[in-house]
Amino acid sequence: MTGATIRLSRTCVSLGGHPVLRDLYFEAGPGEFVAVVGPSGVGKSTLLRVIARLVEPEAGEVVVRPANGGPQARVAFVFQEPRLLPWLRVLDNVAIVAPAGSDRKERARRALAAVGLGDWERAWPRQLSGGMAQRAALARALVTEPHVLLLDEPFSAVDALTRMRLQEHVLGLWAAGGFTAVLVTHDVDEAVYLADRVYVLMGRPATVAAEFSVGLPRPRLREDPALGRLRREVLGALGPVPLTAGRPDGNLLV
Amino acid sequence: MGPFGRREFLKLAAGLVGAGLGAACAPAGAPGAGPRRLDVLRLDYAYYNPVSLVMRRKGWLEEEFARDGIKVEWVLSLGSNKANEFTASGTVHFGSTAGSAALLARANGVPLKTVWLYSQPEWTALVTLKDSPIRQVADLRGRRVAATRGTDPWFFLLRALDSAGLGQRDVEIVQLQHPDGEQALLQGQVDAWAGLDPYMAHAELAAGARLFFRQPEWNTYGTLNVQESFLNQYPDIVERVLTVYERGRAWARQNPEELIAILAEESKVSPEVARKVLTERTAFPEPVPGDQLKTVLREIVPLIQKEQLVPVGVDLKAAIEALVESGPARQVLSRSASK
Amino acid sequence: MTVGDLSDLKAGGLLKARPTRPLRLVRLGLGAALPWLLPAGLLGLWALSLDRGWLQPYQLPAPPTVVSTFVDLLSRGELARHLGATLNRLLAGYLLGAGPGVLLGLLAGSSVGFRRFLDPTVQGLRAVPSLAWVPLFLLWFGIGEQARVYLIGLGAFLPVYLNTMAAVGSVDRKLIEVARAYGFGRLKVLFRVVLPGAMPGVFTGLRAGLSLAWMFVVAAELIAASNGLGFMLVEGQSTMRPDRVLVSLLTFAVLGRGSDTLLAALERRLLVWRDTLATTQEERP
Repeated sequence: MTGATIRLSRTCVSLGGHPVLRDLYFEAGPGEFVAVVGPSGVGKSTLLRVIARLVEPEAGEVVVRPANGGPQARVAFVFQEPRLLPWLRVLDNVAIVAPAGSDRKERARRALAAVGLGDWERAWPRQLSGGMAQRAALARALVTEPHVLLLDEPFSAVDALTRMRLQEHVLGLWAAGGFTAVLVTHDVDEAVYLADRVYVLMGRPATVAAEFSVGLPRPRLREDPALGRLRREVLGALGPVPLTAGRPDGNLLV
Repeated sequence: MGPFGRREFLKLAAGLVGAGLGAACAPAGAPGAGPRRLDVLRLDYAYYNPVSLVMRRKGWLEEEFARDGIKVEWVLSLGSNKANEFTASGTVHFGSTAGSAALLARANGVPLKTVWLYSQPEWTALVTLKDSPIRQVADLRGRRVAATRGTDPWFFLLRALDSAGLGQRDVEIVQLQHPDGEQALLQGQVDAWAGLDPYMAHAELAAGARLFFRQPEWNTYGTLNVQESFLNQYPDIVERVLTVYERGRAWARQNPEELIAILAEESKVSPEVARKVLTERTAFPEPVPGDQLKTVLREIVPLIQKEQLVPVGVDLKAAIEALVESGPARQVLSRSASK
Repeated sequence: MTVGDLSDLKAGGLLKARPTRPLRLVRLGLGAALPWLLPAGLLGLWALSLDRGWLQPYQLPAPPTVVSTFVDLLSRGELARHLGATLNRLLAGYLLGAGPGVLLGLLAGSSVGFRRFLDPTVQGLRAVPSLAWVPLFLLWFGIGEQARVYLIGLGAFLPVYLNTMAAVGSVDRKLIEVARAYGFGRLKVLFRVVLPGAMPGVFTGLRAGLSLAWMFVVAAELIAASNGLGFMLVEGQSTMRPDRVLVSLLTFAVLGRGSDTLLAALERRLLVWRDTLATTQEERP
């Protein structure tokens, strides 16, 4: 299983009559890990949905081509919430999306084991903690053996410690699986730590304001000063950081 | 546990139980007190009790009780079963039923007293449509028959079945009040109907329905009933009402044409139907309930027991004796005779 | 005071000391007896009012009379006969109403076009007070079994349809999106996501439909019936046998409650996955 090439050019997307993405350009190569950052509500999630074909663009091109030349690229989506079907046990949740065949349950079992949930096959989703449920969602995504893995702020709903563990998980699975990963996040630290390249989306409607290449070998150290410098650069691209909330002359720096 | 804690709850429960016990131990409301003044006198009227229609029309009761300031109210009974319900519940003080229905009620514990016979009718028969294959009672086996339980036509049906060696279980008796029973027969939804006048006569004249089984001797009279307690508390009022009933009876015998008109208007049938009912099948004999009533009631005792219409062990003969009360009627007649 | 020592809090009255054994037993007994206090009190009041003459036996028969009538009817097989007739009608009518109710509710909830087509008519039907249907049905279908079963079906249909439709509408949109993201076709989304997701609401409708079906069974048997528990009620009324009326009423109550309990048990079984207060209470009794 190798990844896919993703290319968007001059893509325009409107939702509910309002233009969200305008003249968007985006590219990710097979096996690349790309992050997308930007202010809340700018349209990062919409970008992912365009790639997943959940939303159709009004103009422009969207290409998702498997690297090994297959007909259709398999795209798996991990949302901000785990979104497990509450009426299915954990194993069935993963098995229900597995490719058709007699070994669905077996594949599901392996996927769960890969995320460390092997003992929780028979559990109901309501019995899982937030982090565990998100891991199950990851297993569900990966059991489909996708060419592309889309992650929409997948770790924003869990605590800091769990978030770090899950980030390592994803890195490990990506390294083993070789798929193309696109991560949307509002956490710049997370973006520069995980990704090969970082896109910055800004504006209303949104376009790519900046593109950064991380260029650091893995495994990376979170305290690496190079990451810190990159982080400042990315933040700089996002706009001026307010130093004080209010000034003596009474003006608020918004 | 919140502001309404365990202690508070236990106190409330104890209070309720205490109140209940206290009420139970308190002496029952003084039964020995004298009868309260009657404010409203309620009687029923029915299309099968023509004299009641006359009295209501002419307002004689209202006249009679106006000087005492007692209001008179009339309630329509659509059958003996309804009249019994009304009397038992106190909805009316005077109820018009057939003798058989009154006996059934008395035997089931309702303390009724029959104080007047308002008619001697042949008001019921078994009815079927003109071209129906049913010719005799035995043909009813397995068929659907409309009847109103607790009324005289129903008793008549049971008696008829008994005479042909059948029982309640051998037919499907569909419970419908009299007017609805006629409709069901005419629309072919039932095979036969235990009919009641004037609906029965209407079916004959309007649709050519056949009365395929008749037994005039089986009639159990039209009886006027009151509750025992009412008779004990207001014997004078009972006599005054019966006096007006006697006036009605006399008027009915002397004014047949007007009577036909009244029945037709009230029950919304044509004058021909009313005439058929009143001239062919209704009589206004001696109104004092006595041996003549007891005799016909005794005839139906075996039937009541066979069909288990009353609980086992009820003494029907005693019930008949307790039901029939000739005193007030005799008083009324002797007084009017001496006038 | 060390971290684990709560004696100061107990002394200050913030924590209750663990009650002694005999006190606990008394409380346990009281708790078990609680649901029975009111019925026992009413029963006592019933017997008392007859004993004191506040009520007459022909108005309200004494409890022993009712019991003996019940036993009598049971032993003669008459109660079984009426019970069977009523249950038959109820089952037939309920299935006739609830089945289409779920199906149409599913369709109306998931398709705007279908909802516009069907819903206004159903809302109009709903506006008719339920018992007003009885004479209408008798007029259209006669006094046979058909009219009764249709009537019961109508009673069951409405709440099932309305609740199912609402439940479908409230299925979490996010779950539908994730299903589509994983390539589920429309039918698969309907049966694997929408229907299971709507199940809690569907069951609410099913239980409401059952209780309405019971009400309509009584109404249907009050007119032109020749068997059934409702008929027994009318028969007792017409022949001045209030004990039969009471036996009929009590049997209705028991059956009604019993059938709802069964349905509720089924609901708990099928909806064990629900993440609600109720299910977590069940896990930690």
